[in-house]
Amino acid sequence: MKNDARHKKEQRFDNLSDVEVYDILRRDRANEGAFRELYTRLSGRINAYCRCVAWRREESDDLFQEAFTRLYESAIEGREVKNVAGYLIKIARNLWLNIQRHRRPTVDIEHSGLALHDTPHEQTEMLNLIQMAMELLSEDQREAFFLREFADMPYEEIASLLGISSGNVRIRVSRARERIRKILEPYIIEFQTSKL
Amino acid sequence: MNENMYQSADELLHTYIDGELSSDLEQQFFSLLATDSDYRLRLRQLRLIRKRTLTFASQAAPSSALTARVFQQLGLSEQRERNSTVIATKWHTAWTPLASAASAAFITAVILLNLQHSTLSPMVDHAEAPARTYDFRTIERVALPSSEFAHLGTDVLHENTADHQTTSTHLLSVAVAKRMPSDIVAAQLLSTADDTPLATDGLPLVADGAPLLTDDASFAADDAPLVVEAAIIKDESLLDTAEQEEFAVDGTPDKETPHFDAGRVAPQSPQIPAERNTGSVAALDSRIYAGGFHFGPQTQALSFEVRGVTAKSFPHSTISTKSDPWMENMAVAVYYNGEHSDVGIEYGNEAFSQHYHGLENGRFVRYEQNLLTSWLVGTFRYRVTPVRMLGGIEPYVSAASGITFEAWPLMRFGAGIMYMPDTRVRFHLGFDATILAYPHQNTWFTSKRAGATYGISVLF
Repeated sequence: MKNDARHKKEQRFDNLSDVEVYDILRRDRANEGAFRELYTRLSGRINAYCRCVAWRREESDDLFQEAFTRLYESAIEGREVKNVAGYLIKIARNLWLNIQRHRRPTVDIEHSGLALHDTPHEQTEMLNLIQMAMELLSEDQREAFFLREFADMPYEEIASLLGISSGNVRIRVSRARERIRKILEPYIIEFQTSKL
Repeated sequence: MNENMYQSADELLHTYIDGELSSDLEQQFFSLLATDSDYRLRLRQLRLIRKRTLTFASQAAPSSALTARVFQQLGLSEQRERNSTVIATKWHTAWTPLASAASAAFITAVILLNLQHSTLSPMVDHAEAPARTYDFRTIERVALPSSEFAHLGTDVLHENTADHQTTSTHLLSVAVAKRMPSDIVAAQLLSTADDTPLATDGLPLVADGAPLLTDDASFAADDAPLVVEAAIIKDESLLDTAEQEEFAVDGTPDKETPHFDAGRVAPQSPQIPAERNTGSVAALDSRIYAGGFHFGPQTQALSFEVRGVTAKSFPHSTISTKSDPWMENMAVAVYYNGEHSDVGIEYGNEAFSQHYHGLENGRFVRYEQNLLTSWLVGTFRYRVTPVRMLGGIEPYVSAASGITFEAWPLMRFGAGIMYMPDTRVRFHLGFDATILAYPHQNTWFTSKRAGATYGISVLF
């Protein structure tokens, strides 16, 4: 009986959007279940973004932790959020920009690959290549590309986040896609041939 | 395909990949796709890239440690995490106190076992062991250095005047040093350096490796120089339960006190008439065993040790120390050595990596330093019996605790091996793990170091 009640309680978020779950977190003043639900849904995407902008593992972890902490605090303060994933990314992005502004050039950047759990080798290998190719992009293209391709954010939200027009975002993303495709073309052809 | 057509085709391609192609543009897109093989290739390649990146986003879950950090900071529990994650997280947060508790329990157990061995065992033996008799042929006569005893004072026990000559018998107070071989189960004073007979026949001084007489004990003896010779029984089976019995005031046993073969081993001791005793020898009956470890004279009492440390910091350090003193990653120590247990004081210099990241004045900050600090610790080391098959190598475990010069607490645990090519030299090689706790902005953090240690001891 008790398990059923708990099961129902855990299941009640399933059909809700991110914003609706956030509203529960906001209304109930720190509803732990709602926070866990948002964390489960969005942590992968936010972690990927943090790892994309901050290559050093410890820095990306700090960004990630701070983003979710601020989200939780925002909910407690009753702040309204229209796009939870975008809000988290915005927090992480602003923190990262702050770090960049105050960075003392004393420590070498440590490049660490993005970790995947239970992912076949060829997929990981291709992702590593994509990451390397992304390093050849301009900052603007890389971020727009990531937000679109990794975080799956709509163009309008990316535009809002970056403070540019939607058309401009589309151009950045399409150029970044083409550049990466051209860089990886030999590998992709080999990959597709081996799959046949 | 002119320029405008190409741009249009490009836009169509990306719009299709984004899933935003309207139905009226689909016809145009599929026509292009059907006629242009390069276009089809581009589509396949772009879709593959997008598929991979989207897959990644769904699988790039944060590590369990990072999740634990987030929930811990918010004061929330991780009920929905997988069991293994929960266990890993709990272990991650609990290993330090668990390791400390286990070490403390180990050290306490070692101390208690030693105390029990040296203080309680004889009493148990007395209660349970059957009476035994001595085989005098196995008694060894050995010379003990005068440093084994301390002359605490002399009281006149009695004076005997006969034929205008006065003979005095004194109560000679001595203390038996606490460092005796563990294989000596009983000892008895037999004579002095100049063979002056003693009135202490049957008075065991040492039992089971621990002294029977302590600083406040005394025994009757003729006025004589400090004792330099004693009879030693090295076989526990030779111990008689009568040792546990009280002794008469004159130093002779009042019951079945063991005697040595005086004719073979030691000169006869004159018996002091009990009725002529005037001094108080109550201390004879209170043979308090000195608690502690079993220290042996075969090991030199003190040793001076120098060792180096090659360790890695946790969290990892990305910067080096600013200074480079000659004693960095070195330690010196003075040990008091027992047969198996050593206690000592150690001083050293090591660099500990310190990280801080968080909010400060509303701004996200990150500090790191690799602080070279001096520390002073009390250390305990337990050495296992040397392994003969390995040429006499002694495995050891050690534990230490103390403070840095900033008054930050420090704990260390280690294990390794030792080798003595000579009675006065000992080499050692082992593994050390150190944990340092330090405060920053009213919060305590830890820094850990683990690695190899190697050194040399000189015993004296």
